[in-house]
Amino acid sequence: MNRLEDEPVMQSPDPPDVVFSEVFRTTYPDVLAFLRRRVDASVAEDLAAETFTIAWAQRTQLPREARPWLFGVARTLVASDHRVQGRRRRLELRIRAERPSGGEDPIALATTGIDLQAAWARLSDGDREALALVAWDGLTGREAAQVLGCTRAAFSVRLSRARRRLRRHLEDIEPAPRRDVSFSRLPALAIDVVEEGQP
Amino acid sequence: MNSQLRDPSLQRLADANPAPPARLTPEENARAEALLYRITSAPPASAVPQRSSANLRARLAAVVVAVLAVVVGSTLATAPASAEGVLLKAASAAANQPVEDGRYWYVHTTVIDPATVPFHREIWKSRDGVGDVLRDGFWAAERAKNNGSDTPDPSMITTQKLQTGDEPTPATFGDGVTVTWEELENLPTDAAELKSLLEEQMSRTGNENDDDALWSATTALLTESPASSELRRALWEVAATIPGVELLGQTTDSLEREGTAVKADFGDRYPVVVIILDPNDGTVLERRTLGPDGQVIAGSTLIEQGPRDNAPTE
Repeated sequence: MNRLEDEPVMQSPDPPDVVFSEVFRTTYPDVLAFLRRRVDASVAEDLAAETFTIAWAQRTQLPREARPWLFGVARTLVASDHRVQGRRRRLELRIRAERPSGGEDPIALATTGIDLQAAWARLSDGDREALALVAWDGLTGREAAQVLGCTRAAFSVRLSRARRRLRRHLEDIEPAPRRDVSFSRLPALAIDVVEEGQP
Repeated sequence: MNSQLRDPSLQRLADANPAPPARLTPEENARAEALLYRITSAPPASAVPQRSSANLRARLAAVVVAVLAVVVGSTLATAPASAEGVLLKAASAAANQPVEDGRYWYVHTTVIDPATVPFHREIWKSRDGVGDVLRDGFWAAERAKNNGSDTPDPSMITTQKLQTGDEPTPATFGDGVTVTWEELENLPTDAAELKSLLEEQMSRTGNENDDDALWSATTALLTESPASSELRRALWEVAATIPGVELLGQTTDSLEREGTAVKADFGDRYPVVVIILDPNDGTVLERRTLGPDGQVIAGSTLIEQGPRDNAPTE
């Protein structure tokens, strides 16, 4: 078998790795969903396979909290995959998911969805990424910082800014009477400001 | 639930998730199992047939976080004492500082943000959340930065309610471990018990045995909360037990106040944070988050903190 000199030489194929299998089965659905938010479905599974192939190659260095590490690898693959160029989803909203919880005016709800879509469209890719990592990928600030390869403080600053822009865009778009309903509480704003070292 | 999603705008985004978390279909699961078998049955280097090894290595390199090379400011003179000693001194001093009560807990800071010029931030938080207000110059400071100006436009400083809904919820304090005012009052004031409780809370978000998370949790409550003097003592005592904190020495903060600087460096995964504290009363004067070259990338300087009976209206 031909190998590059600097590649690790394996004496024999590894036996089935129980730990890696557990990590794989636990995180594969999340990694696939992460990719489906960012690329076409036809590409997502291929990139998920590449992500875990890299993880297997690096399995001795896999952190115990593997999900952010895997998302970071997946994100890098998305950025560099030639199939994705020009067809990237730019983190599009699924507006239909804003379902009524009962009794609401369907027209008002539809408007709410459109408002969110319009506000989302006005955000930069960087702002969308920060928001998506938290709101869609379910990461904490610490984990999201790992994915982006930045410090937690830097991510918190970025997230805080993105949230404020989103809120401002929503306030610009939504009719005044509904602002009070839409923005009932902003406690996390204050929390985040502390997290990013801005008490 | 991710605490960030308590923000209604983020919750709305979460509801519009284009690919919500879901179980794999039977077909997807079968393909995943086949993939797992294929990956674990093949030598690592041959498992990515469509890419060269060099390309793979480049991709791997792209996900490696660079080592932080921290340069300590030359103004910091090294003192003979240890960081632990300074933090314990702060603990004793904090225990002697009475904390008065009021309807709101008010904090006034100046903020350093990479996207803005420095700006002022004032926040009023209450037990029930009613009337909580944030007043800051973020937008003005961002505009100033973009325009190449050093001075934010005062007319752009905003005062906003932290909640305007019909069902107010209590404000929270802290970083990583967040507590309401009432919960804060019920935290143990024995350092060992407090540390155990904080670590238990941290473990719920997968951050157990994480010194950076414990350091953040303790110093955030010391930086901005109505913690009692006994709780502040315990928080400093917990902070003093955390390895990786180094004494830098006496210095002055951005407001020229005398203080002692300690540096928290928990390894490559975390930003290096320098805190300037006054060990004579246990006050956190300034917090600086350092970038890879040692430059300050974010930070805040405490101007005033204390109880208030009233908060401004919008």
